[in-house]
Amino acid sequence: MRSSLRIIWLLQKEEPLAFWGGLVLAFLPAAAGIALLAVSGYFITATALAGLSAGAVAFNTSSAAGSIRLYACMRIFGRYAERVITHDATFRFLANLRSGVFRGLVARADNGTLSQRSATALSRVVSDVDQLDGLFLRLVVPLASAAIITGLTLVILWQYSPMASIALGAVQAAGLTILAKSGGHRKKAQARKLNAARDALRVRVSDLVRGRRDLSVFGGLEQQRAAALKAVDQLDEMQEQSELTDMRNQAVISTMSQVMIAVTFLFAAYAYQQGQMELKHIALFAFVAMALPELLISVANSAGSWSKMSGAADRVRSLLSVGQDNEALHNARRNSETPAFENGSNALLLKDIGFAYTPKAAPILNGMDLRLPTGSRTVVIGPSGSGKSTLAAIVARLQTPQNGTIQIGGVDLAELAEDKLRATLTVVGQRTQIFHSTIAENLRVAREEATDSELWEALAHAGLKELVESRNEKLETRLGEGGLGLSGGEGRRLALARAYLRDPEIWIADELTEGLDHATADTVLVSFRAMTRGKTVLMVSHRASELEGADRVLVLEQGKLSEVEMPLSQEIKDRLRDD
Amino acid sequence: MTENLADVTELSDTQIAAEGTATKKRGRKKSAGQIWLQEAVRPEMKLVKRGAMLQGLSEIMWIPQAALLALAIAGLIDPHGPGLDPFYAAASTLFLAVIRHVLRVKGGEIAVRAASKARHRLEISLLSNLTDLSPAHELPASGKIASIAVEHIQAIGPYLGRFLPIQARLSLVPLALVSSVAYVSWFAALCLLVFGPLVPVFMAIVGIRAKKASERQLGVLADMSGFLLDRLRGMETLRLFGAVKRSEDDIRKLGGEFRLSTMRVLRIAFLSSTALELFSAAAIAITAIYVGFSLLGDWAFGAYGSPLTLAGGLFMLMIVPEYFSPLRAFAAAYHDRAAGIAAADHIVELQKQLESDSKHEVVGADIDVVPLPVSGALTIKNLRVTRGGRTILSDVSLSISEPELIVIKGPSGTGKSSLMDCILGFLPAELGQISYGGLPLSSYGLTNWQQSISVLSQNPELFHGTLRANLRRADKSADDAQLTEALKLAAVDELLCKIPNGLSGPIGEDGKGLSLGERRRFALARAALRKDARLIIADEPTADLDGATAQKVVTALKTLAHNKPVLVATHDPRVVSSADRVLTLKEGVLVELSEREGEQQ
Repeated sequence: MRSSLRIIWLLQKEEPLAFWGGLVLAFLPAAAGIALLAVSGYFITATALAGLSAGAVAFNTSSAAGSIRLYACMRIFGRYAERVITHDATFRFLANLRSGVFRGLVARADNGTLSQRSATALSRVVSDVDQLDGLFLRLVVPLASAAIITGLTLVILWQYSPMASIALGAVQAAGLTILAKSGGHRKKAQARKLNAARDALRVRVSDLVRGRRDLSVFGGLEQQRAAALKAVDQLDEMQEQSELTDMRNQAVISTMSQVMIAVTFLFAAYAYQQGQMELKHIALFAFVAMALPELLISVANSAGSWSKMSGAADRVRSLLSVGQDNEALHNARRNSETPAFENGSNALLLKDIGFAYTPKAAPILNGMDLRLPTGSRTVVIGPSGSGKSTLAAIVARLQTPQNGTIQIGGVDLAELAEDKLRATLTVVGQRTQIFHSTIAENLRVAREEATDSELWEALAHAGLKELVESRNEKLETRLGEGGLGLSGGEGRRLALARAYLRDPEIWIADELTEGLDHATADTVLVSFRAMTRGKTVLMVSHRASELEGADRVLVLEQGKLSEVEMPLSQEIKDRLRDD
Repeated sequence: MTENLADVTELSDTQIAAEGTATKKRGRKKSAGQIWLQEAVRPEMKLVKRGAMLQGLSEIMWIPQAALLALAIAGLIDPHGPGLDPFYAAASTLFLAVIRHVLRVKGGEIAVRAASKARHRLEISLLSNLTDLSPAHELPASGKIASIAVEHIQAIGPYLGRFLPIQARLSLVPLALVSSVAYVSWFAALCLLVFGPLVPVFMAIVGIRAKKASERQLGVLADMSGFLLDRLRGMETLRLFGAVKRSEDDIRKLGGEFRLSTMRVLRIAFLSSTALELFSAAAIAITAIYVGFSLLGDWAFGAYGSPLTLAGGLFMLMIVPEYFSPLRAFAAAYHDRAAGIAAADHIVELQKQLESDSKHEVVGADIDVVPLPVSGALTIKNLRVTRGGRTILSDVSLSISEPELIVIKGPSGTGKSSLMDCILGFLPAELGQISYGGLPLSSYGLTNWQQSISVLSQNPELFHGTLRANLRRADKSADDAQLTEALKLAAVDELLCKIPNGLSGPIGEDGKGLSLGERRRFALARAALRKDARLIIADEPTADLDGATAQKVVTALKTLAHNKPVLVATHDPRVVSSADRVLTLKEGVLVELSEREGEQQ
């Protein structure tokens, strides 16, 4: 709940106009709805009294009829304006939240606390944000207007009959308490269990689908199915529980509203009989009591989603705050020195690097040293799992080592400003990430202000020019799902073109040709060599063809690097893939 | 926000369904999902209707409550007219409230439980379909199927448990309320009778316009969440190129565009709820004014003979707001319907994919199963396999009996994997026969046969659990020493040091934390553990492995081939050179190379 409030507060700060405007507008039609019924009831009784006193002109019918019309109009148009304004505000909030969540996840990746990067984990985060769309619409707006209107109504009714007003307030407060409780701890625990049951079923089903080949052979298909069925049972049970709770809550609120009418009427009647209240106000009370629970019902309809929201809010809030902390770190680095690259100096210097993925796991890198003279070409080889890719990630500050120092162009990596680091060094590698947008946008990730002709030049260097030219939309061809599908080699080249646009001093190639067939790998390597002429290059590889043209070859074993003699011995060659 | 958008696109449906009697039914086409959904929930419909009945009864009991209160108020004001003791009226109202509560909760429980039952049934049938399916059958990504099993089938719950009961009482409750008003004044009842059906009509008109508007916006209404997910997946690239800040701005900017275009649609769509407010507020105002002027004696029409009483007026004013509340509930629950139908569309799509092929276990399911001999010859005769109209294997014959390393060569896509699938009984043969020890495979029972083969697939599947549990899938009785030995044979015993707690250490979902090479070798250890295997099959065991690791795998395969036949599909020269026998698959025909030819190659 606290997280939800923090997020609401943030939203209020970012979009005060939409926030407060929406609240005020939500208040008007709700109040008008109550006033409409109350005045109607009052009007009927007053006319009845006037009729009884045989045509006395004391009662001004036109003013009462006028206010009925006024409230009706306020109700109709106010509702419309409210919905437009509050939805508009919600979309604004969501846009802010999305970019905040993005910043937070990047920050987590920056400081190495992003534990899961699987697609499911990421899509959970995304659905958390979607979950929060109701934060303003279904939590703030109904609760705030229910509280304000109840308060106002009580103040007004106090003047007619304090006792009836207190009775009304007590019942309304009881209703709100029940709802708050239903959105509270028990419900939260329920929601957590529900989520766990959902995740269990998800894992079981995807294991079943992905593993059915091996399961059929090694047995266990039945077991896996039984496990999945058990997960189904649990999930359905939890889901049923939660739906029953929601349903019962709504029933309680509806019953409360009837109790409210009866009790309020009783107190009003008592006050009348004691001579404390005028006759015509009894109907006023009765109809206020009838209209007031409408607010609670709109709150009750959304109460089921509060606990879900509050779980999502917890996760989103922690992301938002990580994002802010990271911002501060980047600001502190902003004024670092600029790396310098002169002939004979070290472009990259790593000393005594130690790295382990978790504190418990055995270290992958242990006391590793590496020196890359400016303009040199170095290849690191080693068996799979020896930490080659980790080395590449550490140098690019995608991972932070637990021990040791890294200098880039004479500047300590820990203090180097983000933009200077990214302008100096880039990684091209096996994980090519292509965005679901146009080729031009995919390339401009590297340099926003690049002109079309620069893009074409980069594509030409990467050997993609013909392919792009053959498309009708040229640079505006969409990539990814539903667009042009790039083969593995083409994707790798697109990544090269991106890096070329950056034109960094240091190039890190992480398994550049992994998973490509021989011919494709060769063409990618040709492009790579042409682009990186005269630059400092570090290649991480287990393919013989990538070693060509290297000044030095190092072997990464047991967390340390050791230089091997050139030309390569047969023993080293045997370790490499020769296709 | 999807709810609102769903509302926009489906609004015209809502209103027409809202009061089916009021609006002329047009020949709209139902989606496949809608038709399927109706069938799928049919067994529970009776229960849902019963629940709806109870809830409807509870709502109708507002009539006596309103009558009691109206009489009591009128009694206070006009002691000479019809009246009721205030205490008695309040107590009866409370009593009725309790009955209403019980009815409502009972009805709700029946509906929710029915929904839960339907959901459960659908989930179980999906799971059985999945397990009965041949593993060679192509399926959508596992994540997609999991989300159908988890989210989509769940979405049918609220549709059945919440939306349908509301829809069922949509005609019942308002009609009962109108009748009670008609008892007091035909004029007020007439107003309600005219206004009520007008609400859905107006909503429908608005809905059609909104739908048109949203169709125009379709290009801009790109999925915001999809955009965020895309950027998150590519986060590493964005970080590497210092484009993080820019992406944040992009996300915000796109959010802004999304907001503008969506609001354009919503501004029209919201008119539909305004129509509801309009008629409900107008009905209250008209009733109040009509009653007021009647009581003043200015108007004298609409009632039956005698002039309208205060009690009658108050009663009507209490009934009118409730007349519109089922419509309001209907509109609120409407997204349950949209979500249910959208989910049903997904489910139907998956079911189509599940059904298009023959079932897995049909062969030999009812035949008397012959015990599988300890050893024998595997003979493939004139095998012909077609998949999706394309002939993959046209005429394949092969005989395997001795322990040896047999390699099937051929570029990818020539049907090596299909041949393996046939041997495993995953794929049915169109023509020809595969037999073991002289009997067709089906006579041993397909499951028995499959479990007598050790397989190393290209993308071996490891399961959530400990190393030990994963290995024991091949041999339940193996002790730790045997497991360690198998890991050594597959040259993957370093895992015991790498993973905390060794054999008792966990492997994540999808073998997370292990490299492809480690997974492959681990799966090889698992395959080696199956001591009674009649045959070992390996599909591209060295693909994407580095030289040293690939060599270890080849050595392990060679060792295994001393004891039993090992059949390997590959184009890795390293494996080919260690083979005892090399076959090439070309244009659907298997050609055995003689020693000399093999060397030439």
